[in-house]
Amino acid sequence: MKLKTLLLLLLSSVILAQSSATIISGVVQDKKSNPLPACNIYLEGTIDGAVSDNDGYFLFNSNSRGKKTLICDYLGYQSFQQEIHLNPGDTIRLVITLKESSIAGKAVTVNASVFSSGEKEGVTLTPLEVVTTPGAAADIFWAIKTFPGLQQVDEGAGLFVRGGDVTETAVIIDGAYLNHPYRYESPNGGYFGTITPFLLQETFFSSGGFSAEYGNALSGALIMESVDLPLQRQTTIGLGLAAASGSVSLPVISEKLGFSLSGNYSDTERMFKFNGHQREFSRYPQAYDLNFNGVYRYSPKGSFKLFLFRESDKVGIELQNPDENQFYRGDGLNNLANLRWRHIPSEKWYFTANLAFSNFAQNQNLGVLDLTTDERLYQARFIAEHRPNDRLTARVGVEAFRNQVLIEGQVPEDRDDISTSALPLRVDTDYLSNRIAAFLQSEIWMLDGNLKLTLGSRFERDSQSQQRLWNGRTALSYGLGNDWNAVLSAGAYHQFPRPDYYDPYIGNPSLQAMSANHYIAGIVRQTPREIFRIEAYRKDYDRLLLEDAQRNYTNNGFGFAKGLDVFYKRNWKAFLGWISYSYLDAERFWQDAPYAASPRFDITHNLTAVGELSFALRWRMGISYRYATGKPYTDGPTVYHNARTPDYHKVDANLSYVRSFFGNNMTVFYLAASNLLGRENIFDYTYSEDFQRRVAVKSSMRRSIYFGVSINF
Amino acid sequence: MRTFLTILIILITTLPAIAQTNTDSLIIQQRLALDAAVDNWNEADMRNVRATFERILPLTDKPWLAHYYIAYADYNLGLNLISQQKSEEAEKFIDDAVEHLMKAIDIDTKFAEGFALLSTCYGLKINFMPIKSIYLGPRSGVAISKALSLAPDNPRIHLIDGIGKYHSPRMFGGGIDKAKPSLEKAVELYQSFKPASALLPDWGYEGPHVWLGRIAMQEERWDDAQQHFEDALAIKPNHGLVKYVLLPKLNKSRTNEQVSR
Repeated sequence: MKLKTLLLLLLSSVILAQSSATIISGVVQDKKSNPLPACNIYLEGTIDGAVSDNDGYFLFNSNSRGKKTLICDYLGYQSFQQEIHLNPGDTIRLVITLKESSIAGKAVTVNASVFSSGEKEGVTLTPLEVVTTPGAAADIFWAIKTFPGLQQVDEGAGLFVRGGDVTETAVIIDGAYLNHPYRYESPNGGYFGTITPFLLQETFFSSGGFSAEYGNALSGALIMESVDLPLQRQTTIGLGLAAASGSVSLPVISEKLGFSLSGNYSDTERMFKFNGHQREFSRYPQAYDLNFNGVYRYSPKGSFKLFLFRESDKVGIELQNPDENQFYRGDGLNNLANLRWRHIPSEKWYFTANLAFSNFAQNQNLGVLDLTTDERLYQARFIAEHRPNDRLTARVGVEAFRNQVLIEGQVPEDRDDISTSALPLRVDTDYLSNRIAAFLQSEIWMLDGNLKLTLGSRFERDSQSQQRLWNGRTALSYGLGNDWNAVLSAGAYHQFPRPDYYDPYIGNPSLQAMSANHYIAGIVRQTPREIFRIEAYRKDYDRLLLEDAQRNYTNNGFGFAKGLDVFYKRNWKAFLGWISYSYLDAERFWQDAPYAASPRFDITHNLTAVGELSFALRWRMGISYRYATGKPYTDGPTVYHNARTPDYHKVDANLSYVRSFFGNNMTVFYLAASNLLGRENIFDYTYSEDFQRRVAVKSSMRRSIYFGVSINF
Repeated sequence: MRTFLTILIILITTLPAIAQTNTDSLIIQQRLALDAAVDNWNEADMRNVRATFERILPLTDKPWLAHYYIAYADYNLGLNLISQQKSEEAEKFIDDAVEHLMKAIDIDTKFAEGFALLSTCYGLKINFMPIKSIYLGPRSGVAISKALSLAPDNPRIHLIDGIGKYHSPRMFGGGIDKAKPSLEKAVELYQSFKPASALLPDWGYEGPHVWLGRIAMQEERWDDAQQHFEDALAIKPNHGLVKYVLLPKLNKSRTNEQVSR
C-alpha cells in the first residue's frame, strides 16, 4: 500500500514536472573526447543546473522559459556558453566540448621579454630568491643579472641590456624615474643598486619591447614597486662583516596608516682586510642609506604613499696605469622624494598620480680632474586606466620632466690627459631641459582570451632639441594551449642626450634624440612550478652620439644588436634552480669608435646557472655559476676593439641557518663565498700611451668570504 | 529500475528550482549538504555542493557567504585530494579557496570566519611550496589574529588557530605546547556555541578533540588520547580519520609499548 502511494505521488509529480519543465541533458568532454567529470552546468541567472558525473553525463530540468544562456564551467578550462531555447516538456541534449585555458583559467597575460619579481604566482623571482641568490649580495640589480639578455660587462650592478649601454636602461620606482640608481657610480653603472630588495614588493624587468608607458630609454626598463602598508610590527637588525642595518615596520592604524623605516651603514675596510685585495684604497668604500616609506589609506579605494630615500657613498681606489698609478676619489649623494596617489573607484577605473624630486650629486677627483656634478630631476605624472570589460584595458597618461645639471670644478684641457701635471680648465655651468610626454596604451583580448593585442603610442616633446616625437609600439601574445604562449613585439624607442651634451663648447646644441627599433619573437611556457622562455630579437639603433673633431658630437652614429635568450626555471618542493643563456651579436659606430665595431658590451655568450636547496627546515644552500665571453678591448694605436679579454668564470655559494633563541624572533646566520675557485677574471687592460706596456684590470678581491647575522622580531 | 532512478533524479533536481526565489533557505540547505559531504568524506558530493554555491553566488544578496562556502568546499576538496596523493590538483583548489575568501572579506571586512579559513589556506599553501613560507607564514598569522580580534568567542577560530600552531615550527611561535591551550579553549567555547543565524558556518565541533587526541598520542598519554578520540566519535560517529586511522594507530602504539615492556 505504502509503496503504491509513493509511486503514485512520484508519477503525478513527474507529469507535473514534464508539463512545465524542460529537461536538459548531455555530456561534457575535452578536445580528445575524454569525458570531463565535475563540471558545473547551469542556466545563467538561475539555480538550475547539475554537475557532470564520472562519465561526463549530466541531467537537470528547469522551469525557465524562452531564451537562456547555458554555461559550463570547470577549473582550468575555458567557460563554455551557449544560447538555448526552453519549451515546456522539451528535452534538450547537448554535447559540450571544453577547451583548456592557457594559464590556470585566466586569459593570456604573458608579455615579451618581461621578467618579474614579487609574491604573485608566476613571477620569475620572489623577494626571497633575490636575497638568497648566490653571488647576488642581496642586491636587486645583481639578482636581475641572472636573467638572460643581460651582459656581464664587469662585476658591477650595471644593467647592460641586449647589446645596449647601461645608460639606455630606465630605472623606475613607484612611477618615478631614477637617473642614477647605482651606488659607487662608474662608467659601467656602479657596484650596487641603491634600492635594497627589502623595500620592494614587486619588480618587473623588461629586456626589450616594453610598453608605451615608459619612455626616454633605448634598451631596457626596470620597474620597481615599493612595499605597501605593513601587515604587522616588525623589527630587523642586521650585522655583517662590512655592514650594519636596521629596519622597523609599524602599522599605526590597522589597514589605514603605517610606515617602514630603514637604514644601512657599510664600511668595507674590515672586509677587504679580511679577504685581501688586489688594488690599493686611499679610502675604503663607505656608504649609508636611509629610507622612509609611509602609506595612508584614506578609504579602501585610495591611498597616498610617501617614499623618501637618501644614500651617500665614498671611495678612493687605485687606478692601475702603466704610466702613473693614480687614485680615483668619488663621493656620491642620492636623494629621492616621491609622493604617489592611487585611487580605484571601481573595478573598471584606476587612477594614479605622482610628484617626485630626485637628485644625484657627485664629486669626482682623478689627477687634475676635480668635478662636482649635481643632476636634479623634477617629475609629475597622471595616469588613468579604464577596463570596460574583460576584453579591453585602456591606459592614458601625461608626464612632465625638468632635468637640471649643474657642473662645477676643473677638467683637464686635453680630454685624454688626466695626469696630475695636465693643464686644468675651470668650469662652472648649468643646463636645463624640459620634457613633456603623453601615452595611450590599450590591451585587447580576443578569441576567448587566447590572443592579447597591445597597441601603444607615445608622444614626447623636449625643450633642448625642440623635437616632437611619436613612437608606436605593439605586441601580440597568443595562447597555444598546454601553458604555452607565443609572443611577438615590435616598437620604436628613443632617448634624448643628457642636457650637458647640448653645451656649445663641449657638446653640440643641434643634437637630436637617439632612436632604436625593437623586434622580438619568442615562446613561453609558464606554470606555477616551471618557466621556460626562448626569445630571438633584433634591434636597430640610429642617430647615436658620435664624437666629432669639429662639432664635439653628432647624431651620425648607428648600430645593431641581435641575439637569442633562453631561460628555464623549475621549482621543486625544496629545490629551486634556474639557468639563463644569452647569445648576442652587436655592432656600433658611436662614441670614439673609428668604424662600426663591437662595443665593449658585445658579450657573445652569457650563461648563468643557479641552484638553491632548503633542507632540515633550518638550512638553505645555494650555488651559482656564471660564464661570459671576454670583453672587446683595443690593443694598438691604429685598431679598435680588435681583441677580447679572457673568458669570465665565477662560482659563488652561500649557506644560511635559521633559528630562534627567544620568543617569536627569527635569527638568520649566513655565510657567502664569492669566486670559490679563485679564478682571476680580467675585465680590461689599460695601456701606456705608446701601447708598449699594459696593466690588467681585475676584480678588487680574488676569493672572498662574507658572513653576518640578521635578527627579525 | 532505471526509469525509477530517472524520476528520482528529476524530482531531486526540481527541488532547487522551487526554492529559487529564496536563496537564504538554499544556502542553509546547501550548507547542511556540505557538512554532510565533509562528514562522509565524499568527493563527488563536495563537488556538487560547490557547484550549487557557484550558481547561488550571482543570485544571492549575501555573496560573501556563497564565497565562503565555495572556499570551504575547495578547502575540503583540497584535503581530500591531498589524501589521494593528487597534490597538483589539490593546489588548484586551495588557490581557488584563497581567491574566494579574499572576495568574501573584501565584501564584508568584519567577516571573522572568512579570515580564519583564509589563515588555514595560507598554511596549507606552505605545504605545497615550503620555499614560500617566508611570506605565507606571516600572512597566515595576520589573518588569524584579525579573526581572533573580530570574534574572540568563536570556538572555530580558536580551533583553526590551534591547528595552525600545531603545524608551525616552534621558531615561528608554533608547536604543540602553544596549540594545546587554543584547542582547549575551542572545546570550552563549543559547549555553549550557537551560530547567530542558520546561514552561518557551524562545523568543527569534533575538531579540537581530534587534534588534542593527536597531541596526547605524540606525548604518549594513551588514555587521554583514547578519551579525546571517543569524545570526537561521540560528536561525529563516522569520523573516518579517527575511526580508521587514529584509533587503530593508538591501539598499535599502545600494544607495542606493552610488548617492549
